[in-house]
Amino acid sequence: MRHFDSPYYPRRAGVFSPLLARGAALNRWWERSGLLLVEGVTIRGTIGSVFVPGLALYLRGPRVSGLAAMGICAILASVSLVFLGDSLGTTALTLLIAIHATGVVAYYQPALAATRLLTRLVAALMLCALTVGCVYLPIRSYLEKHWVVVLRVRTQVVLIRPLSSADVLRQGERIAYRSEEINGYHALIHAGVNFAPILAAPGDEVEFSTEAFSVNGAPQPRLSNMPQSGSFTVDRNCWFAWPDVGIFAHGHGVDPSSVEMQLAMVSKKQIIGTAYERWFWRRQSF
Amino acid sequence: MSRFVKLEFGGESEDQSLASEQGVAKDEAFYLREAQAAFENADFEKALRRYARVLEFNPQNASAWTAQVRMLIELGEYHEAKIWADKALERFPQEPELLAAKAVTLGRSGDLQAALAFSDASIEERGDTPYIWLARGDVLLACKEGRADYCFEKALLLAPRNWFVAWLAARIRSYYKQFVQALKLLQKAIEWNTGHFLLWLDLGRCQESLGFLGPAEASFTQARELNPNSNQALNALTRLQSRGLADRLGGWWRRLGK
Repeated sequence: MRHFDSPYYPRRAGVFSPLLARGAALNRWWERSGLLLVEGVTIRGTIGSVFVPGLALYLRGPRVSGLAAMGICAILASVSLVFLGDSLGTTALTLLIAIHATGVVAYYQPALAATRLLTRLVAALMLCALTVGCVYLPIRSYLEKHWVVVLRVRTQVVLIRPLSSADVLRQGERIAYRSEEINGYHALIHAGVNFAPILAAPGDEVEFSTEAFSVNGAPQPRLSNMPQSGSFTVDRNCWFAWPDVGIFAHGHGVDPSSVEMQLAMVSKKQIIGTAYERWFWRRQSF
Repeated sequence: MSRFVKLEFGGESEDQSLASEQGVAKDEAFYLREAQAAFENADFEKALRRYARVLEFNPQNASAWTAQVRMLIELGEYHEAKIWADKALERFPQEPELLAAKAVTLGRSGDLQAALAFSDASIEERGDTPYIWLARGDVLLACKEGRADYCFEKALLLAPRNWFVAWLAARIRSYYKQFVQALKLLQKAIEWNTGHFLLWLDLGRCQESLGFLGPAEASFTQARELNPNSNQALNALTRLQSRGLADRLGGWWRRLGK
């Protein structure tokens, strides 16, 4: 029997009931402890305000403005996600954080109203830091780990899907990967992140000539700074991706192609992820 | 017999077929008896369902509403019990046992001031039933007050030689980890109803908590003999046999603390 089978059968404890019970107990403890002797400021309200953008304004009232704020926050959150990396997305995220943090400070207004200006400023700053630290930084790190990495490549922003161990990389896919510092061939290349398409997979035969390079015999136009002769087989667990790095050589002994060859051999542990073809409905152009 | 009769659909089919075989009318009184029997066998889930059936026949049965709140308390669902008590109190705002049950839910949830207020209200409503005093004792134990003893004595006085009240009092004592007092109450209950397996089972649990492993084993064995179908007794015996030195020392330490 369930509560909806009979109006006389009570709703039973669910999965979250122990959590809610502990939350309620914590709330009562807070009220009893006298840590915050202000009416209308509860621990449940605080937690809700910190974690749900706009909820603080709803709790503080008027309710209509609060609902409007929550609606606007939902829209801003969606816009910032859809237009991630774009100036519109950044603006939306900034506004979202501003409304959220302002709401949290407003929720604490009864507690702060009678305090000095400096106390109010410090408290407001701490509440803003709490909101950003508890919500936005964890969300960002979660997104970067599981969903999307925002990468700036020269003047363009590219959205990268983080690589999972189960992913199979194919030729032609654009990857973002970390490169270590290279100091040799009379050149110094700092450690950083590169973005390039995979030209050859493990085991493929790559051959260079003055006009072109070929992968397993299939010729392709030669890219800048590529060697003009020679061949090699791509190692196991390595991919061959030629980064578009601007190397300007001055003087004798600088060999850009040797430097770039080092950058072009990418192991799986270096790879951050592959570029999304589309982010929502927006096609990414490279 | 339906081919789905062995499946569990809240245990309704079994009882319905039993009732129809015996030619018993399934009315309010029938479900009330069933509910009470389930309660006395510590089958709180079943009792909760039966009390719901009682209310389907008669929503004005305040004692069934109260009993449902008590079942939820016994199942440890205090938040749900409080919600249900509030719903019942909308219908019966001055029902003493209902007020007492709400006091218990509040007390066990940690809202001690409100619990005391509701308990006071239940006594002011001239409720002089054993449960009101048991609930009062429960609330006072939650508040860590010594006057709780008086409430349990009062409850037992109102129901002389009633094993059920003694057992309920023992359950409250056990909840607040007062195993010695619970043990005494269970011994009384057994004196008044020797043949009920549940009393032996709870006695065994108390003895086990206090580290009296030998007597606990004897009690569980007794419970199993009285009810060979009791999985709880079998599980308790199995658990007892797998206890190590640390558990024994723990029991000894708890006895020292009393």
